Amino acid sequence: MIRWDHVPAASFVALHTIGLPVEYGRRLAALCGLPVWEAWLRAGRVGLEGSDRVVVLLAPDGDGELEESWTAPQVAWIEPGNLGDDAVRSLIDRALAKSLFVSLTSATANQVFLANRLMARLAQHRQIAKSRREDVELAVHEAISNALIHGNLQIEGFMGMNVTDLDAFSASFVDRLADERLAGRRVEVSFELDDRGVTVEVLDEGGGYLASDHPKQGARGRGLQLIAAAAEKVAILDGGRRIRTWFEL
Amino acid sequence: MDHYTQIQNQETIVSVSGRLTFNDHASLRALIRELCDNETKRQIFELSGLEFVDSAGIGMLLIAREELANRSKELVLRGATGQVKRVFTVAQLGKLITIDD
Repeated sequence: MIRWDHVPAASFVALHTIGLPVEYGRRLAALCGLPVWEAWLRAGRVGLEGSDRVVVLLAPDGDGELEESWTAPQVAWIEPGNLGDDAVRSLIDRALAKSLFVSLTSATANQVFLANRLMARLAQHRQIAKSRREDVELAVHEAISNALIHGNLQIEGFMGMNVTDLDAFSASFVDRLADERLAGRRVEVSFELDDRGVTVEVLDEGGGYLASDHPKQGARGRGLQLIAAAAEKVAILDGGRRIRTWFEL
Repeated sequence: MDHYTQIQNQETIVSVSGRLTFNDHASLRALIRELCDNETKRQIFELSGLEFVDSAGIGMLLIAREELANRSKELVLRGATGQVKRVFTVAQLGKLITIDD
């Protein structure tokens, strides 16, 4: 089993673009001083080292669903969306310090089982008992769902236990995803491994919330309870736009 | 989430598989409507093929239970394993819905 737990945040070895124009990939790679993936492969670097880390730029059209997009040596996945080159570069720079890093628009994050993808990727490098992996996956999924639904799309969950609330949720969900401004808001997820566990952070671009505004009942409250049940540490930061959790592995 | 429904011995059995998450709101809504409208009193969710459930999935199961109870129908959850079973325990779902193992 390859371990890349203590890899310093040196650099990525290549930049891979999926579903985006070749020219775009070349431009961004040049901006970041990285070879494009194909050139790196052609240079004979097929024998991957555990420390070889590749950053991926993804198109928004669902290519990110491809299984191979989420396997080694990929460690960072960024959907440029409507970001300029410098903003994408700055995300790539932020990704350097993380074991795994994802930044997607809400529209794309909604189409990908992101927590499942990331836990599968993590499990390629660190052995985790199946039940623990599933529990951490649920907690990460709940944090991402909260960021997406309540944060970026600004939808209240179904507070009541009736179909009227469920219908209202469905209608809001469809409406908000059709709003380009909201659907274009980003969700960022990072994993940072240490000797004993992993720190997971999930950021959104919504209006935030105060913990005191949200009773333990209701959708967000139920999600937070499940996160607290699996995580050893939970911190709500940046006015509710960032949740930092630590899981023992 | 995928599901198929069959009626046996005055009971409706809904076999659910895959992942039940907030993204299944539309299909769960349609399923609740179907179960409310059918002739049987006892509706059994057979969950042995379900791999993953989240808090919204739990919420939707509670809505199904409530809507069925309003029509004097019963919802039973059967066969949950692994992650699904553990989440049911953490959420103390057994206090609210009949869980039949």
